[in-house]
Amino acid sequence: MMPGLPAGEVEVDEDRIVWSADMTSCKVLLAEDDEVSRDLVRLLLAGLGRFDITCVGDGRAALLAASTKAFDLLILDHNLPEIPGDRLLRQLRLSRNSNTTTPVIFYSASIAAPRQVQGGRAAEWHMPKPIDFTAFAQAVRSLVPEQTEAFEDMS
Amino acid sequence: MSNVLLTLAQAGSGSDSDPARLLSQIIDSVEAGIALYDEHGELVITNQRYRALYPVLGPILCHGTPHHEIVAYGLEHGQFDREHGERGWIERAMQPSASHAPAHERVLADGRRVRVITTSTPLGGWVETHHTAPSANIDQSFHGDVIEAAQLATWDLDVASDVMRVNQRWADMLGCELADLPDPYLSAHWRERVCAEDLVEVDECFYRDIGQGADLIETEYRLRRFDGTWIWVRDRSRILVRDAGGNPLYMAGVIIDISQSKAREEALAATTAELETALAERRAAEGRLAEVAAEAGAWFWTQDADLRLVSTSIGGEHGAARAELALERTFTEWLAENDSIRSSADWRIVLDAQARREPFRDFTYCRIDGATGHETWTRISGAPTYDRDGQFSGYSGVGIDITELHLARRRAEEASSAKSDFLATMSHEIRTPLNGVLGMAEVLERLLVDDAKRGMAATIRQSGLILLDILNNILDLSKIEAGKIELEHLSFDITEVAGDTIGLYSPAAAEKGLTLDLMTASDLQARRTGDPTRIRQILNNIVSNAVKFTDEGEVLVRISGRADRPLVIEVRDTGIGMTEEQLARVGQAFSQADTSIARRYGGTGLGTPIVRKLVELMGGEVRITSAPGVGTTVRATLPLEPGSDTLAERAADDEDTVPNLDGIRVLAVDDNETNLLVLELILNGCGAAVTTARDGAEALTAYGSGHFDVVLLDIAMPVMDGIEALARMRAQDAARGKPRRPILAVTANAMPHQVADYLAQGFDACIAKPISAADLCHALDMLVGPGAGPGSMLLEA
Repeated sequence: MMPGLPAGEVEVDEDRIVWSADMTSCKVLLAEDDEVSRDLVRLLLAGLGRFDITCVGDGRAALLAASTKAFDLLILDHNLPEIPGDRLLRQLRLSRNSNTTTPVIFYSASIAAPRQVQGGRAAEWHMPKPIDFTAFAQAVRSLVPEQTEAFEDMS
Repeated sequence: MSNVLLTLAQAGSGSDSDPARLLSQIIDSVEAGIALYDEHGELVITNQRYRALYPVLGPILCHGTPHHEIVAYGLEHGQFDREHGERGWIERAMQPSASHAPAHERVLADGRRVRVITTSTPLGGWVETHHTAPSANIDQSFHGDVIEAAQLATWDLDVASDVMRVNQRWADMLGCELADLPDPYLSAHWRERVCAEDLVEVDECFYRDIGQGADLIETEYRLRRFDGTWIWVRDRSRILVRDAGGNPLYMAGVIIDISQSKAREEALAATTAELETALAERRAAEGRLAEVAAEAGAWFWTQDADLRLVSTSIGGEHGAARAELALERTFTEWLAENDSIRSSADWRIVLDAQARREPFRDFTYCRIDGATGHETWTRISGAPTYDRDGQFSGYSGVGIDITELHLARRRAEEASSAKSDFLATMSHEIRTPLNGVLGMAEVLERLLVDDAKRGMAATIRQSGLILLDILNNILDLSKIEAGKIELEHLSFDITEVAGDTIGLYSPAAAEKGLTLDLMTASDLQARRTGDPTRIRQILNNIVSNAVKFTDEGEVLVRISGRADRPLVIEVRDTGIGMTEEQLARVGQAFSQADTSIARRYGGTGLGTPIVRKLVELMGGEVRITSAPGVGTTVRATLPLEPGSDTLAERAADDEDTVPNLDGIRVLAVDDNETNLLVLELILNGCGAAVTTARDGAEALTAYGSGHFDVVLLDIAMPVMDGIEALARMRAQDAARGKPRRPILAVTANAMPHQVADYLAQGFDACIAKPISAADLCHALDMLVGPGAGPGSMLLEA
């Protein structure tokens, strides 16, 4: 257990790790196959607000999760097994599902600098890897302002 | 005269007196045969010539033999023949007291014609004169006229006397007058004018034909004229009289001057020979060319004005490999019979060029052997041909087997691709742990309160960042060198990009006490079309170097360029500068101006090469001017078109507006006609061109032969389902080196796990049935619409 994590319970459901938290928290889908990166994002998010994080390790699990549950923020890596992140993101954007308009942070090694783009009807931040803390925090704050403001108010 | 003769004969008959001998001598000197009969019809005397004419009669030609006995003897011994000549004379002659016709012609049993003139003597006897006739009973003078009219040189020859008679034409032919010819004109005179070489042949021919009993002998030979020139003549001789042994006694002939026809014949022969030599040379040259071509795996082909293949030089070892080429076929007909060849390339390039009578070059197609799967790659070029009147006469061209080349290129591409994959993998493999290092270092830095420990964590982080920077540079450079970088064409604002760069390096500059300023020209066209990410990279590299190598003074970034001029980015510093030598090396990868620089300032020396290559990729140029101790100015000129305000336009895009899919070519595949109709209606409404197919196999054929921007595939279909069709389409594109094209699943089976399966199998997206027009158009707009540029984030690399 990492220090600085918000209170919550850890459920381990096969390849999904679900961080259950109370209903007011921000629901995040984190699709990342690298364990260290997953931990990092969790740590970073912990410093920014109350997040209910669903972690998946491949594109297929990510699509299934996104098809069945509405999230407040999707954090996707380009390099995902089974279904690449960009294909996954495009499918979510062009089909009718519960996450068509969910804001996205998209990580790719081929991106040179962080930039905000209009991904269909929702905002997206496309970010280079490795994760830059400042840029990440800025992106999260701009995409889910209510949750992060609330947290800043509390802290 | 008759009386004298009679007297002489009577005198001679009684004794061996002088008058009898005289008579005998006289009549022997006459050229005609002569026989004298007395009033009793008994023979008195004959001359030598007569006896030569009738050699059979010899034993009874004595004084006192009655005329009818002589004729009877002649009939009996085959000298005369009732079947020949005027039969009347024999009947008359057999009557002892017959009156004699004054003149008649008899044909002897051996075929000779003899003209007999009978003259009565006063004492009741008669004299017969016998002339051998050279021809039938045609009047000699008339005959002569005909010959003269025909302008033929004629001759006859009495073998016994060797005397030739020739006419005026003969003299004309020799270029002289009749009077100039020797008299008598002997056959030797003729022989001496015949070309010696030909005379041998003429004699050979003559004796051979005579021996075979021929009467007509035709020979050709050269004859020397009086002026010494030669003429070719054709000589037709007829043997008119033969002796009992078959030897010619009398012959005649005509000679035709054939010099002209002979000359034509010779000229023709010479021309033919020349032509044949030329043809042989041409064939040899073609052969050599074909050999050389075959050596290179090439051959020639020609088409007629109807574009039918009329010839190919295919043969040898490549003949078998080229068996698919069909004579007497147009490309269109041939392609209709060869699906795999037709679908292996865009044949419209060739067919359109031929329709316009334009040449085409380096068109490549592939034939796959149905049995072995062996691929044969062929490259053909062709150009129209015109005949002498300038009329289009077809095409001719060259083909070359490039299977080896193609396979080598594919291997090279695979190797290159493997290298790129390796780099990409390396990049991923290095970044992932680096990510951990950097991230954890940052977390650690925040958690630590002790300044010294925080400093250590910060050092770990900074070192990691430098490592990351180097890695990125190496990757960028290798990507650029491999031609792997595709530039985007987006509208962007250069002042925003430059502002970001200034913001990024301001802290570092401030730390060193440097002024870092941005100046933009008042007439600057700030909005440009290009790749903002790469331009940011260029700016960052230049500014980072300027800050790095400047210890005091300023770094000034100036941006200029009117709407009709290139964009100019200039970065001027007051840093350490470079000597000319250092400047010369600065563009080379891994080469900093000085190795000591690397120790002092760090870095890989890759920044400037990357800048230079990126600028060149954009069609611009970089100029660096520098002086040691004074500073360096880097000036990049980028020919970027002015940009449009697309962001604003796209923001105005409401979801109610119909996406514009003008000119987008869609292949829609569904086994249900209604579904196809719906797809067609929706897509046509957005301006897209739709081709339809009813199953996977049909779709695959259409995909191979047509050109589509996007494919809509139903999943559950007869013959071949959507999953297999997708795999085959991807394989086809990969085999032909074509870029990946978006393929969408359009299906009613769209449970989340099914959609996940489709995406995992390679579909770019999945659209659920029933189709909503808005969803479909929105999806296509995202994938292939005007907003989906080549570098769009939503397009997979």
